[in-house]
Amino acid sequence: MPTITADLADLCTLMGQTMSTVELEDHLRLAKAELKDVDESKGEVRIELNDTNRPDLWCAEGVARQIKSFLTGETVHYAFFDGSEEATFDESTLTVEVDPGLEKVRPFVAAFGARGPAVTDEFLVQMIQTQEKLCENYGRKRRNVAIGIYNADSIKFPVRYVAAAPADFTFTPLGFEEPMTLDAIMAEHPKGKEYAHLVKNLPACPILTDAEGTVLSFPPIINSRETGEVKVGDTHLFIEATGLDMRQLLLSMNIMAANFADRGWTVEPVKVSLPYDSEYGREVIAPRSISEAVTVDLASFSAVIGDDYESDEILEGLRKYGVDAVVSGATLTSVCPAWRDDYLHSMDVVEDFAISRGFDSFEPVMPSTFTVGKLKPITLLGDRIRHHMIGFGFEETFSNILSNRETERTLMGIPDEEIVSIDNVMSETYSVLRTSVIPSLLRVEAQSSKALYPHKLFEVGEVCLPDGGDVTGSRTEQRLAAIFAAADSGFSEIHSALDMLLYYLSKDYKLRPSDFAFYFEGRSGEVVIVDEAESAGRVIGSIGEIHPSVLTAFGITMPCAAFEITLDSL
Amino acid sequence: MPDIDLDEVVGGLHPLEIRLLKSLDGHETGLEAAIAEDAGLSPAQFRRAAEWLLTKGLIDLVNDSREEVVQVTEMGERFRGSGIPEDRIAAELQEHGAIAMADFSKLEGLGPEETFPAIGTLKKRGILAVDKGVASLIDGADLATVGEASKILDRVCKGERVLLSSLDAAQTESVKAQVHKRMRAKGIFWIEEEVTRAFGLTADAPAVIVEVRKRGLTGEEVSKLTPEMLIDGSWKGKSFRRYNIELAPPRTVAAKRHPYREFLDYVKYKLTSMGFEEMQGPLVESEFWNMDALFMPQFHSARDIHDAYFVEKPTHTAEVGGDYLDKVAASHENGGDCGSRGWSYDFDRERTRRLVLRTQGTSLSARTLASNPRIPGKYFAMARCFRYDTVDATHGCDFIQCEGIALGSEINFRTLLGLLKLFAHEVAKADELIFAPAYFPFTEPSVEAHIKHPKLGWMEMGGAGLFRPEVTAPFGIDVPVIAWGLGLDRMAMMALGLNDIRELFSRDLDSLRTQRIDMELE
Repeated sequence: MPTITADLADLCTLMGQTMSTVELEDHLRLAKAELKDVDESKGEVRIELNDTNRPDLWCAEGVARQIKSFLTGETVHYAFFDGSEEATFDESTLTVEVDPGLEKVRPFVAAFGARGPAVTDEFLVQMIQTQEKLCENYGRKRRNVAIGIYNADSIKFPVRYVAAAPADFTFTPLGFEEPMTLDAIMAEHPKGKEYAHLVKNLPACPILTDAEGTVLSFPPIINSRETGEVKVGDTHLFIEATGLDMRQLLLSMNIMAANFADRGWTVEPVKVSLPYDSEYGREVIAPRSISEAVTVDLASFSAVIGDDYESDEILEGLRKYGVDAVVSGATLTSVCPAWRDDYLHSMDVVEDFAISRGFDSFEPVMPSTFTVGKLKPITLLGDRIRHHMIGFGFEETFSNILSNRETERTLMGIPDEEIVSIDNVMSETYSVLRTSVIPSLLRVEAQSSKALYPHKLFEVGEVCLPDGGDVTGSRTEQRLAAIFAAADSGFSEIHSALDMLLYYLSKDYKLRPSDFAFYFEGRSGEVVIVDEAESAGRVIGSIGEIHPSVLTAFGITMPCAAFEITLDSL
Repeated sequence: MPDIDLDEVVGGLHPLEIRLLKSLDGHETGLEAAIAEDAGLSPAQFRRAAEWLLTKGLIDLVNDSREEVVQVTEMGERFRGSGIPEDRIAAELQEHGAIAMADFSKLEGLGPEETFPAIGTLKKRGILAVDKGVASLIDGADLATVGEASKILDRVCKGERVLLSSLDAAQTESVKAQVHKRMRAKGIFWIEEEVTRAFGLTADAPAVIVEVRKRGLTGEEVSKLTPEMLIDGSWKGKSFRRYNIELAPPRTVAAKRHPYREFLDYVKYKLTSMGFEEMQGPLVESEFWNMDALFMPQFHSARDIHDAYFVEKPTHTAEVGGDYLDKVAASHENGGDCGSRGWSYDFDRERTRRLVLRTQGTSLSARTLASNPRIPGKYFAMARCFRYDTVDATHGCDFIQCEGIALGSEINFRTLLGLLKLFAHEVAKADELIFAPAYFPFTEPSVEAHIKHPKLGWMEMGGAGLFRPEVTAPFGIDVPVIAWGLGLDRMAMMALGLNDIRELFSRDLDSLRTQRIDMELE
């Protein structure tokens, strides 16, 4: 989840109201945000934004805008979203022309210009933070959205978006002194190394130049040193976004344009001319409204929340959340603000209303319908078994079930047979799912040699076994395993516990001598349920004395006997 | 007054100690044997009681001496009055001059096994010589020591306490000559080392004794009630020792539930008592049930390789979702027919079969929606889940998630808040809670409940919301569904007094044996 840093005074200016951090914390709920840190000395706050579908909130301006509507009771309006400024748009100055060769490279671009008071330190910090959040989080690490900001005064329009051959195109990237080829940038520039994979396999490299061929940037990798650096004091900027989906680019530009406007800048629309189609046609002027109207059955506000609301209350609530809506008959129609694109379903409008009203204002009601509480039979069986084992004097253990081949196979002396393992391993220590509970118990024993003996331990828990017969290639089983560790430990003590357990569970069984890798030869066997239905009996587990070589491998110096049975087979 | 707690000291006195103290009372010091006799204690009982009282500082050891006392063996007893064999033979020879060896057998009470060793000893001492079968005294032999041993024998036999240190050199030598070095039974004498210890009361003792008498403690109290006493009724006449029940008992190593499981059991019982039915499912889960069915878009960051563990082999399930697959796909692509516009992207059906280790228990809720759930119905799961995380004090390699759903026509946002309030009260023992807007891809509206924990203060209890229509519609569920999850880890850590989440699955038996649940379970 994105976390941003904001200057408290700047935030208050944007909200139009001074606020203590305590008040801010309360109001941040409107933005599904949490105050993480307050740095009193710097007057800075750190805010975590929990809504991954609201990139407009990942900046000081966006958070302030959400709160400001609540404080004023009014929605915020920007003329440039309504298309009303389109008439004043001067085609000769701000346009971007797109090369047909980009269709299979990085097809779309959207842009706008901004003119205003000089860029301040705080605005520059926020601008770069917004750019970074939009590119890294919303833009999936620049894959879907990469944003460049330039001093517009040094650009000759129209800007051209072209497909270039990596070997014969050169410019000086930010952070370097000399011109480099695109290949060299990808190989040597830190940003080149980080993002080259996004363009490596493309037929060409996307390049932005101005009308005279001066390179602006090599999206999504790096800006030019000459044009692509914003400084404090700049008063005329050009902002563009390139990517794979026009709607995402427009949303990004809308968010940034609203942010500039909030700081008193004038937004200058930019027209992009595409030689191929986009969701918004071949001529796309940004910023622009992107969302479709959403209709909501008025009754659903009351039904979803569980209270009665008049249409006036609903309209007021939405207004305080920055959302314009009109009511006609029993239907409410609303358009998601242009800097948002999170209305998928009418339910999303209902939530905005609910948040605006405040969740604490809703009186909780207890569900009154009668339902029967129930545990799964296997859980009940597991609980019965746990109680019996404790009655027999066994102490319960509880283990992680992510394990490793070393524990499950090597130490157990089991040949390296199939095991469910993780593809994207983070640590070898946690790389497979356990196939047996006995190794988990032996690891407890290995760490507990100082605890007073005897040790009688058990665990009822899940294991996961490779199973070609299942569509998923594995199956989850519930197991009981127990070990008895003591100087005079032996087969008969652990057998006695198993015997009593199966007696209390009303199961007839026999032990069938059989050798296992981890049991002492001649002192182990299969546990077989004797059942009229199955003449051969049903194998449910194993029992035996743990092999001395296994004990030694685990670092255990106390004799141990063990059994393990599968609850699902009982 | 010395700084001792009379009540505690007197209450803790063992009957043996009482008897010992009482017999010392009024004497400056007393010898071990004398006190023991007076108190009616066996030497072993005396030693135990004296040891305890020394530790408690109620008596002092005032003298500790060791003396060697001459004692007569069982064999020696036989020569009482008649003299030991050497002395008798020497006396016979003094009387008769020379005696044929054969005639020694005529000496009354002596057999050859006694006469021959005695003649051998006398020869060695240079008192007697044997020539051609006739024994005679050697002229000028020193006979001063002859008879000394017999006299000492008689003294000891009469009951005299003869100390080795009181004998002169010759007497000492003749006694020692009759001590068999290895087998006491073959000698006439043996030397007993007698330890004589004398004890006295300390300054603290008199007050204790006064208290003992005041309470009428005799030291004759019986400690244990035995089956025999019950059978023969003899318990009736006996005085039973009062126990000091305030002493710490020995520690029991108890068989018991694992403390974390005990906590989880508690939550499990709570939920079933509230009418929730358990759900279960496999550890290895398809992305379909784990994510797609929950309307988590395939480009969602929680789905990349840095958030979920993917299974190495097989990578994909052969089949998933059945008839629901098309509907879930439509839900993502264009919202299907539930009135949503969906996420607007190309749903990847290959991806939906990809196998992961279950990342959230919500996958079980999705499976439940797809298998004809009861309506109205309430379900819960305690599911083992896995996340791609570095294991540290706040992240385990796997963990238990507690979550579930409630569905029915009466369900709405306020009943969801009601349910959360119920959880706060019943599970977390918290009466104060606040609801904050939250975001989950599969619920709308979404809420986070923060509770004021009695000990931890404000903390997040869990997240919840109404399942989005995009989640429920593909499964044909047309009533509202609440989905909720509770963060049990922190509550459990608090209840168990742990600071590190890894300790919930501790492998240290010693620490497991001391862990306990510190919360009110009601």
